[in-house]
Amino acid sequence: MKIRALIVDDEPPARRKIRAFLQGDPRFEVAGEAGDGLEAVQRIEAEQPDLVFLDIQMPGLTGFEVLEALESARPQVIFTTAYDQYAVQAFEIRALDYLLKPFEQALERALEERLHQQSVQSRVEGLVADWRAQRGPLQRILVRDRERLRILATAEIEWIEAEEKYVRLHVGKETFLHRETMNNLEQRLDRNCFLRIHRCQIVNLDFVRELAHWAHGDYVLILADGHRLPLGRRYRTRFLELFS
Amino acid sequence: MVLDDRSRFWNWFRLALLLFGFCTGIGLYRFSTFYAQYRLEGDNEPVRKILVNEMTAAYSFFFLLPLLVLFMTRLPLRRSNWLWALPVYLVASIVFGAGYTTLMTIARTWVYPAADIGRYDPGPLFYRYLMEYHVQFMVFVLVAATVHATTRFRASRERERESAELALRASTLQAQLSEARLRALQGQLQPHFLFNTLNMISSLMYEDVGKADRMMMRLSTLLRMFLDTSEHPSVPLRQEMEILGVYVEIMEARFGQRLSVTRHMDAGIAEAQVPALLLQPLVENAIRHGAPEPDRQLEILVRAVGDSDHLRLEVSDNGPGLPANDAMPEGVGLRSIRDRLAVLYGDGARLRLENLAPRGLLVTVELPLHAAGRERPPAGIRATAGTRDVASSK
Repeated sequence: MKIRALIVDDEPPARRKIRAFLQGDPRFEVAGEAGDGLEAVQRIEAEQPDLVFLDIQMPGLTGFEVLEALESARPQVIFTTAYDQYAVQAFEIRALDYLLKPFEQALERALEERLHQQSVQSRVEGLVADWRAQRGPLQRILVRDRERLRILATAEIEWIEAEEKYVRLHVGKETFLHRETMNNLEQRLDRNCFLRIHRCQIVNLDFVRELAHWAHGDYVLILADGHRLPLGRRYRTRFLELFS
Repeated sequence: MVLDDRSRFWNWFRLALLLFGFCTGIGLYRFSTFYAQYRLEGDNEPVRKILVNEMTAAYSFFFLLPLLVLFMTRLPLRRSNWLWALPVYLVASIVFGAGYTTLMTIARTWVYPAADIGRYDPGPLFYRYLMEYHVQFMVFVLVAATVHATTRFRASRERERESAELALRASTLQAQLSEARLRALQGQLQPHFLFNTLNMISSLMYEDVGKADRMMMRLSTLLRMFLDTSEHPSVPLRQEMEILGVYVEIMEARFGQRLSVTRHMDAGIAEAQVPALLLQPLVENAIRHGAPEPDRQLEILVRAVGDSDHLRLEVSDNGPGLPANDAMPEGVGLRSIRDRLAVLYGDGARLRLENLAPRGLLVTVELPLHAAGRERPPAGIRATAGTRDVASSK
């Protein structure tokens, strides 16, 4: 059985170099290439490769965001980077081997590690967790729009409602179903911008236009597009505190 | 403020007291001289009279001294003005003398009867004034010399302090300049760029040795330019566009079909001076942040346009533009450009970022065309740029 490898890099010559290396080694088979983060997510999910050569700095989604966005099982990963002190630091914390471009012999060593050690996978999980913890509030989010993948800036999201294990993101006239729990997403969003207003609703304060009295001391939020959202009693105090 | 006023009052008061004491001393000194003289000559002039005469003289001087000092500080004698100031001084000494004698006469007329010495008689006034003037002239010269010396001393101390301050300012400016240069260098020599380019060349070597070699040369040219920036803060626009071409060639080799950069330069502004390596970081920013939608090419347009007194450099792309909420902090590249523009042109240059419709970002740098590179005024080139510009506008 050959090892099926996928090459992710935004620069064609960099991809060609890895491809040339893999094609000279009978153990490997190149399963495909991707030129940016979005394409990488799609190709990895479609091809289910055994091994991914993953560039960190890419337009759209970074290598870390690609790993985070994957819904299928994570493949073995060899990170590649030209110069990224943060990423290198992150790899070293988790004792993960990585390739610094331009690379040569190091490639062989990194491969050996991936092929013979099973513990690597958990370290990759740890790396993604570290990265998540350190990057601060979520700035963009990868959503699936039927077969397409889309990157949404969190600032564009007007409000969010829970739908069982999913959340529905309202962006202008469009809505996107995203696989993440309400509580989890709330943790990751910018607290100065997104506020829980109901057990199953989060609102982006930038889009709130009016706070109107409802009945019996209840309030309702009116958004810029006229949409009305009730302000849950449990969340009322915090909301009002924000504006006092 | 109140404290300041009060301390100033006390300073004046102390000075006045000092002068008063000084005048009293002079009066007593002169009194003792004349007393001895009268007695030597067997003259029986009453002691009181001699005392009153000398003290009225001394205190009249005390009252006139401020006016005298005021005049002398208003019109200080200098090497440049002595030819006409000296006659003014002479007239002033006469006025001073006349005033002095008048004041003395009035004082004595008043004090004599009070001191029971009879009536004061100045004698024939012409001789009185003339007689007194001889001593007063000496006094006048003495005061003038003192004021002159003091003024000179103060001026030299002031100059010393100013030159020290100036030296401090100059060194601060120098420090700011080198800091801006260092930051400019950091902004340009992105390690990420360097290593990715080396990786690209390393890949090319297996495929196309000629192309790999060419890329190596391009990279060398760029590195040389990056390192030269501190020596030549501004370069002709033509050269800046050439360097940008070298950079673009490398980036197009790295990104292939995904990137397309178009360059345009108006006729007649090729020799205008612009800050070195201004365009390259702007294009680099466009490539880094202008990620297009999947399967779309990133198109970057670089334009250099000139009118009679401004040079406008524009870098536009079809990327996502600036985020709606102004949350993005300005990167090292843009900050270093702002610093350099400030160092080179003060308020004369502008850097502007604006989103384009339906998508894209436009970065505009506006420079004064005729004052490019204040730091190292390239007078000859500036003149050329000017005349050519006029010629092209016909």
